[in-house]
Amino acid sequence: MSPEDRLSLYIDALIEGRRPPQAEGDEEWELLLETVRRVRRLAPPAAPEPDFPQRLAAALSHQLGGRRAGARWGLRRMTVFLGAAAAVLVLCCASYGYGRWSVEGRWPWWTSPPAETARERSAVEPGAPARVAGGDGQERAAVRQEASQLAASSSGPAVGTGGRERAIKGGPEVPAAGDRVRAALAPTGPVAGRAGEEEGRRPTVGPDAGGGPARTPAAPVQGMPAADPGITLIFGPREYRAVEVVRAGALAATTLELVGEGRARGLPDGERVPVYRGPDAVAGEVYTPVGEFWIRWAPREPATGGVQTGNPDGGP
Amino acid sequence: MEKELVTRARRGDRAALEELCRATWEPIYRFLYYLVQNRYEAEELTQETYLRALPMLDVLRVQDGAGFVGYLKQVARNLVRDRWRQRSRNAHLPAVDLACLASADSFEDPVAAAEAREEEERVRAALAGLAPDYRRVITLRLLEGWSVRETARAMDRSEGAVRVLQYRALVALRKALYPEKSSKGEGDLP
Repeated sequence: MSPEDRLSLYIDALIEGRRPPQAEGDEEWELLLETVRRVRRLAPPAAPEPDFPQRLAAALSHQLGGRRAGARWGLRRMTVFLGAAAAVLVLCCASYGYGRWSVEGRWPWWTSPPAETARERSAVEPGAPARVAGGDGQERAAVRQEASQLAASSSGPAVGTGGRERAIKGGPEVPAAGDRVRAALAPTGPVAGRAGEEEGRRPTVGPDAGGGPARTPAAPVQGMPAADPGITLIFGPREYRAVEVVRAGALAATTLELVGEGRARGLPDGERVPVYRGPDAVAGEVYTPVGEFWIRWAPREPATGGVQTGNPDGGP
Repeated sequence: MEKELVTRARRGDRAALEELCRATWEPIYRFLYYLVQNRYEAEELTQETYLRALPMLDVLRVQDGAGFVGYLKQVARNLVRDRWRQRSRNAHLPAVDLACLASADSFEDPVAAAEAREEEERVRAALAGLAPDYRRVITLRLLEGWSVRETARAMDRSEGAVRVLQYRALVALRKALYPEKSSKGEGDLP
């Protein structure tokens, strides 16, 4: 469009009272439009349409009412937004404090310790601070190595029936002796049992699985590494030697029966293990659970000074 | 009466609000029309002025109608200034001529009235210095409000010739009114 036509359209819009075309131009163009307005100011002003006052009042009433409603709705939205933000903030603070303070045994006042930790705390002797045993791979490897050394030296700290040492206040985390035994007997795979429980996993088999005396494992699998032959199990009047370690899943279709509780020799003293016997037991072989594994024990020479606990009549 | 209207409107009385608008719209419209010289824009800006001013009634100490009209004019002046500045900023241009904002108050202020009279004399003198055809086409089109067709018939020219003549006449007038801002060689006489 030529500048002559653009200017003519602008003047027509001024004369007829229409919206002038919005066209950007340079400074000289704007000065040209301002020149038009300056000339127009010499003429008497054009009166608005006769119904302009009525239209103005109606438009103001409508728009002011809309703005008030919009303001009220904006207030509601602001309230909802602030409430949601506060809720998210509280949740973030709660979760942050929950994970951070639980390591030190303290809990935020608005939270409660998990049931698992409470159970562990009750297992620890009174006066000992609550703590969480290490669950990562490096720590388990260290524990396994330590357990092997303990088994080789046949000496170690006293352990309780619960398989957990008394926690040393302020000292490093020390896994329970029962965990060390299970770690030493399980050469491969993850260590379950109490350590697994402390990590939030429930053992699939073993004494902590929560099942009754009857178990359902059987059929040892070839290729599993044998247990340390220096470890012996004393159950009733007899002494057993470890034959092999089998996976729990490989013992399916066989029902083992809990016959009592024995004590392992060559391991940290005081380690008591439940003893199972299968219906197809060969020559008095028994099984003891170790986390996700089972140890198959074969009778050795009649032992002297063995300690039988739990079910004296059930021993072989 | 307007004081009472202002008080009732401040309390949220819708009828009083409408009556207040009906009583005060005319000076605001004239003020805005003088600035924009367009009826549509003047009506639109009048409405926007009320929309900006009325929510402030609660925080203002306007006690009478005259004070309210003065406040409305101040709002209208700021509105026009913002619009012009925005347009200039978008086009990377300086503000056009905000001096006329002062002369727009010529209805009440004697100083502004004198400035308005000086402005009018300047424009009339510039018009008088134009060629007769230029002066006539500007008079017919801008001051009397004739259409291009009517102007072409009156001047015995084609509509296209009237548009060209009108453009050149206004370029010449711009040079006369803004001698320091006009470039040479544009809109020369044919």
